[in-house]
Formats: sequence, C-alpha cells, structure tokens
Amino acid sequence: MEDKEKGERRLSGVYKIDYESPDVEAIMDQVRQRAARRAGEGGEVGAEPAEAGPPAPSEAASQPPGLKKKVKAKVQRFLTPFFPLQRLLAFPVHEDLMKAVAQLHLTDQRLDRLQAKVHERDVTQEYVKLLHILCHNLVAELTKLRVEHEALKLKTQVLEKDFEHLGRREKALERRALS
Amino acid sequence: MKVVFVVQRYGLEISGGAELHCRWVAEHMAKHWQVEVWTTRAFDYITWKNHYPGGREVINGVPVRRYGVRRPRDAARFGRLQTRILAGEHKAADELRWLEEEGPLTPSLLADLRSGRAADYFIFFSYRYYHSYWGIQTVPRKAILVPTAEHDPVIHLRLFKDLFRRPRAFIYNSVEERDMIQGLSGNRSLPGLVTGVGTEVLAERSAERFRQKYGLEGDYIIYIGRVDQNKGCHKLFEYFLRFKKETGSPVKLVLIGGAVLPIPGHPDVRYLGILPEQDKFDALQGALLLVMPSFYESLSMVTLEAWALGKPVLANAHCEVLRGQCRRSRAGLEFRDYAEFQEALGLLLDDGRLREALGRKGAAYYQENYTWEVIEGKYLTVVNRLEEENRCPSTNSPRP
Repeated sequence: MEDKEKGERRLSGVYKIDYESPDVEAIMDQVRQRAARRAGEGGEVGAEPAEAGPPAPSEAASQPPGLKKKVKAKVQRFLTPFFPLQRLLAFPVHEDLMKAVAQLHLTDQRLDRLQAKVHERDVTQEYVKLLHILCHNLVAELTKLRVEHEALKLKTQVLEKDFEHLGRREKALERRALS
Repeated sequence: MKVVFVVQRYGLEISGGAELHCRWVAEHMAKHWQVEVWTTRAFDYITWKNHYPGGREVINGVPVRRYGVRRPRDAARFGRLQTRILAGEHKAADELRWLEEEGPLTPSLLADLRSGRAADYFIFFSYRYYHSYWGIQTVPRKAILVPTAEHDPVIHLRLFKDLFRRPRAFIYNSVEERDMIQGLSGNRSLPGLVTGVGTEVLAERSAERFRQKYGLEGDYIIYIGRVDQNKGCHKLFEYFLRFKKETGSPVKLVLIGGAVLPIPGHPDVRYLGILPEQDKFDALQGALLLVMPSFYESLSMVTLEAWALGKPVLANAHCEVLRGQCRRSRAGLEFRDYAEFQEALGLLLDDGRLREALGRKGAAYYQENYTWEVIEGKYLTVVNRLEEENRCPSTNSPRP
C-alpha cells in the first residue's frame, strides 16, 4: 500500500493527468516522451546521469596511429558481409515492415482514388464523344428535313397550279356542255 | 419480418469472434424479428469438415438450418495458393479459385438463397468466405453485410473490392473498419452503421472467489483470448518478462483462453486455460487491467467486457481498431514497442487513481455504445431504413 502511494506521489510529479477527465492522447504523448528519453539515456529516467569521464585508454590507443587505422580498416573489411545481419539485429525490423506495409496501403488507396478519377474522366470523354456524334447526326437529320420540306413545298405549289388548271378546264367543259 | 443470419459456423461450443457475435445478435434480434440462422455443418474452421448433423435444429430458441460442406479444405493447397496470390500479380480467376479453396464450400446453401423468397433480409457475417461472397452476389438487394474485417492482406484482393459495393447496407464493428472498407472500395454511398456487438456481463462477480479457486495472490494483469502469435502474445511474453526483470515489479500475468503458443515457464505467468464464464468474469474483476497485445482486431469483445467492468486496457497501438477504441473511450493506454509498454504499464500499475479514472470512462463508453438495447436499436435502424427505401425507392435519404 505504501509502495503504491509512493508510486503515485512519484508519478504525480512526472505526469500531468486530469483524473476527472483523463485525456488519453495527452497521457500517451507524455508516455512516448518519457519512453524516448529512457531509450536515449539507456537507463532509468530521472536517474542522475553518470559523470562523463575521459575515455579509458584502450590497447589500440597505445599503439602507433598508422597501425590503429590499419587494424580498423581490416576489421571493417572483415565485417562488411555481416553488416546486413547487424542491421537486421539492431533495427526494429518488424516496425519497419509495419511502416512499409502502412505506406503501401496508403499508396494503394491513393492509386485506387486516382484510378477512380481516371475511370471517371474516361467515362466523361466517352460521353462527350457520344454527344458530338449525336449533334452531328441531328444537324444531318435537320438538313435532310429542310430539303424534304422545300421539296414538299414545291410539290404543293405544283399541285395547287394543277388544281387551278383543272378547275378552269372543268368550268370550260361545263360551259361547252350546257351551251 | 423474417431475417436470416448467414454465418460459416454456429453452435454453443463455438467461441470464435464472428460466430459468437452472430449468435448473440441472432438471439437478441429474435425479440424483434422472425429470425433463422443458415450455417454449415462445420465445427473446425481450418478444415470445415462436416461435424454437426444436417437439417434443422433449435439453439437457444433460434431455428438453425445446417448445410453440408461439399469438400473439406486442403490447408496445404490453400496455403500455397494464398502465398502465390499475395506475393504478386495474378488473375481474377486465381482469386476466385482462392475463394473456393478457402470455403466453406456450400452450394446447397446458395441454392436455397437463390430462391430469394425465404426471407426479407439476409445478414451475412464475415466477408471473406465462399458463402458470403456468392451469397451476396445471389441476393444483393436483400443482403446486409457485417464484414468483421481486420487489416488482413487478403482484404486487398480485387474480388472483395467489388463485393463491398454489392450489399444493400453494412453493419460495421468499428469506425476504423468502416474507414478501411470505404477507403478500399469507395462504397461511401452505401448505408453503413458502426454498431459492434453488445456483451453480457455477469452481475455476480467475486475476485476473492477466483483467487481462492486458483490459488492466486497479489496484483495481476490479465489477458483473455487465444494465446496465439496472431494475437501478439509472443510480444506480450517478451515485454512482460523484460518488464519484470528490469523493474522488479511483483505483478503477475494471468492468461485465459486456448493456447497455440508455448507459455513461458515463469512463476509470475499463470496460464489457466479455457475457463467457464463465471470464472472469467471473476478473474477480470480482480485484475488491475486487461492487456490486449493483438495486432489485428475488428472489435475485441473482451476489451468491451473489461470496460463494462470498469477496468482499464493496455492495448497494442499497431492495431488501429484498439487504438481508436482507446482514444474514443478515453479508457486505455497503448504501446508500440517495449519502451512504451514499460512506461505505460508502469504508469498504470503505479497510479491507482488513473486506473480508476480510465475504468470509469470505459464503463461510461460501454453503457453509451455497447449495451444490448443500443445494439438492437442500431440493427433495427438499418433494417427500417431499408424498408423505407423499399416503400419509396426514389428517396435518397442520408446515411444513418
């Protein structure tokens, strides 16, 4: 019980928490900051940092500088094939993979949206083409109708004249028959 | 009104997420509709071998019709095909073959669906199975889909993109699930309601009874669910044991559920296997918090149960659904890696007031969104809206 109280006292100084209405995001931000600091320090947060003394003299340091360089270069050359393995062990591969998958997912979504837009544009283009053809056909049909209309008008005039002529002939024949 | 629930497996012994979800919803909605369940004779979700007798039976007052699975799944062949499909370019025909290999292959169920007159609506559970895909294609105007989808690579297959545009309506488990499906398929115009599932919490619970029965002393955190790599349990073991080693905390980890993964032999890791409901709720009652390390969840019923009991949750932040639920409810913390696990667990263990505050928020969130009255109301809303659309087909009412 005492330990718990101590813990709460310790944390109340570190975390800012509204206990009436806890804000998870704010708490998580603080958790992440402390976790990052802990990871950076490589030890307990709040612990006094170790005094930074001068680097301990190593065996290589006591050797002449040329030899040190040579040894370093040789070791590096020897280790070169193992670098990917070292990286694999050192880095959080799983997280990288998760990030890559998430990135791929987002890219996939963007591509889908683009594809949808392209599809929409294609459909619009097809509509425009169809409208062009429709307009062209309408103009052609209207021209044909106009020509037909003119022909019919002429035909009507001819028929009217024929009718007048026949009327006159009828009257002349009547006169001759009755006289 | 007659509503048929279509699900891959059904039975009192089946505790899988979507199947249990379907059973609970069917049993509750039987108060409002004439409900029937169409399912397979399978018990094992790996092979789909016929296990139950065919024909009709009644389970908890709900009539159930079982259809035989024509061919059990060949896990090796299915695995090879899935690996090939997920690895690279493939044809639409390959995806359909994958679907057929996945099963459960029940053409007789589809034949009955084809008559179409059996019910006013068909509610399909789980998008990824043969019966759901072809069932929705058979009765799209009467189909409501409860996708129970997770961030599973197969959801990106093209056939599902088309499938998600077919049903009349959707009932989603979470906001994240809805966003994912809408992002994948662009089906925003289809009505969909984030509903989830209610939980039944036993009123009578005793932490003391649990401690006595299982000989457990001291503080403990709890994990409930299948102990499986897919559920992130390997990470939980790794982080918990490291936490114990680095902090010297006396806290114990109690595990409840079937185990697929070997359990570490540590005195403070107690695996209790599958427990009766009463013991499970007693255990949850006594726990300081629930830890949920799963990478893929479409809802996590056990998280809702923890909140119903006023317990905070420590969840895997890689799972969008769990993260979203924790943020919306303000009832749980999350972790991405060991550093965050250590910090968040340390904070929750040390700060009793925070646990109480988060638990209070969780209980309120549960009451507001996941009691059965709320869930039943949402199902009724979706179906009533479709009925309205049927009456006046030209009306384009807004999404519920």
